[in-house]
Amino acid sequence: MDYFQEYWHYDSPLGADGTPYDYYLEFRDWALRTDRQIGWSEKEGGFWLVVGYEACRDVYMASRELTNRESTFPVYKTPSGRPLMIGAMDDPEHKKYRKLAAPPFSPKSAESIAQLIRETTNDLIDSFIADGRVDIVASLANEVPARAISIILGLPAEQGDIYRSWTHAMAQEFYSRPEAAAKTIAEMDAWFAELLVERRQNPGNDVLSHLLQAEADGEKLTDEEVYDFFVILLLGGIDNTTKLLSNFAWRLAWDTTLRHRLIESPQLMMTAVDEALRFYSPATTVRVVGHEAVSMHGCDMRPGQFVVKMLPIVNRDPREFPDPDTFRPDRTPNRHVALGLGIHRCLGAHLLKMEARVAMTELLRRIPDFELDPDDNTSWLHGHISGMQRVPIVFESGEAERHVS
Amino acid sequence: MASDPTPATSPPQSAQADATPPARATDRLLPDKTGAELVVHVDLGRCEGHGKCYGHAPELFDPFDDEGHARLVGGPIDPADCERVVQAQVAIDSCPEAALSWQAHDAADKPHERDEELD
Repeated sequence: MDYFQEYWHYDSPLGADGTPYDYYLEFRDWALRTDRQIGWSEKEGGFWLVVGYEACRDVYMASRELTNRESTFPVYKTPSGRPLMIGAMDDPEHKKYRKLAAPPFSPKSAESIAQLIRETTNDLIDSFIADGRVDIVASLANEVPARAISIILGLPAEQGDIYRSWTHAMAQEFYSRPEAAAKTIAEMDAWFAELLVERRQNPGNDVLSHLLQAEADGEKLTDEEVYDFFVILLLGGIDNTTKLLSNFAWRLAWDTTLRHRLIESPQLMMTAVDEALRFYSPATTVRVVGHEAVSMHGCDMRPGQFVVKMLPIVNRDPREFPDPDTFRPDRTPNRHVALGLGIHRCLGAHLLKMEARVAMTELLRRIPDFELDPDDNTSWLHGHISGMQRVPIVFESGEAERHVS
Repeated sequence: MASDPTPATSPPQSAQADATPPARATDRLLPDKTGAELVVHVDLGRCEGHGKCYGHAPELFDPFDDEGHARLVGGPIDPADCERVVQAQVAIDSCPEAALSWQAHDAADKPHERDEELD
């Protein structure tokens, strides 16, 4: 059997643990045995699939030969039909726009909202801690990132469900239910048009207000460009972080050794977040397109061919990560590629890691003992960003720390 | 616990994975510059602001711009100062872009000269 030939991530079978990792690791072991880092899949019109760490680095570094024009797989449905701002651009255009969006995502800016995220996390925990059971995805992992990006974009924080329905339409639903997705995206379109009018009249200290006044090469951004920024910040700000938190919380629900270790040594949370990113990489299939012919690891890639980096397998490569299938909260060094490499390194990396560190630390402080609900099931979502989408847990109920309405 | 939810793929092995100093940090320490002060050169043509270096060694590195590009702070490193040397080595090994490297102090007087196109 040639694992490459049949690969299509929506088909990855789930194992007894409810994740596709049994299959991913079978694939990896086969690729190691046959000494192949890149192979050809016949699915979806055919594409190169990268599963080895070294090859993945090479592909990231070949930004001249391989372009980012269609970086998600499948290609997200944006309202305008234009390629994703920053994410699907190449230098120098990419650099020009990225610089405009960078300030709120600097390490310093990310840390400056840590206290707000801590309070938000605790408010969310307050809302379910008395119940003794909760779907930690719906009640925490979905909410923290939506609220964080709301702070940065200056949007109402309580509308997380709406923002998520938009990102879901653009990233998932357009594929499975295109008509429903089109309707949702039209609603977002109208909502944004109103928001823009409002921000022009009352500019604030948020990213959108800054972008409305910003200039690139001496010219103000068009409304379309500001909209494209809004879309990418929403997409990038919510999905990846939500899946990181969901996967990490799922792991902590059954890995009591890890949970106790992080409770005893909270200073390990920083490296543990990186290990969670490596171990269950949310960004699954990151794609580039051949621009010039290039040969890598025995594969001749032609212009126009797609090259897909299969990050969950790449991040378990034993040639880079000793003992790759052991979750080591203190793993150092940990040069995982879950947030990309090279010029397209995740713009929100510092924000995302801060959110995960704060949210998980508070979760363990408030609810040190929890386990998967034996009467309920987890569920996994396949996609460009994949991970747990339902993690029901049970725990001994506790008390709210603040008054909850 | 009623049932053991441990997935087949990942038995809870983390107990054995105890804190071990990274092997790579100690086995090839100290380039051949006996006595000379050392700096860690940050190649800004490669650095993409991942922040692994200042994450691991906040006393040696810090981010200096919105993208989180790193620079060495706190001056050159005394090779006899094992703690700082190990910290620096961990940072070097952790950089996903391989942007960090040891340099003798005098060779690194103008470390950023050729990277200036980066803004």
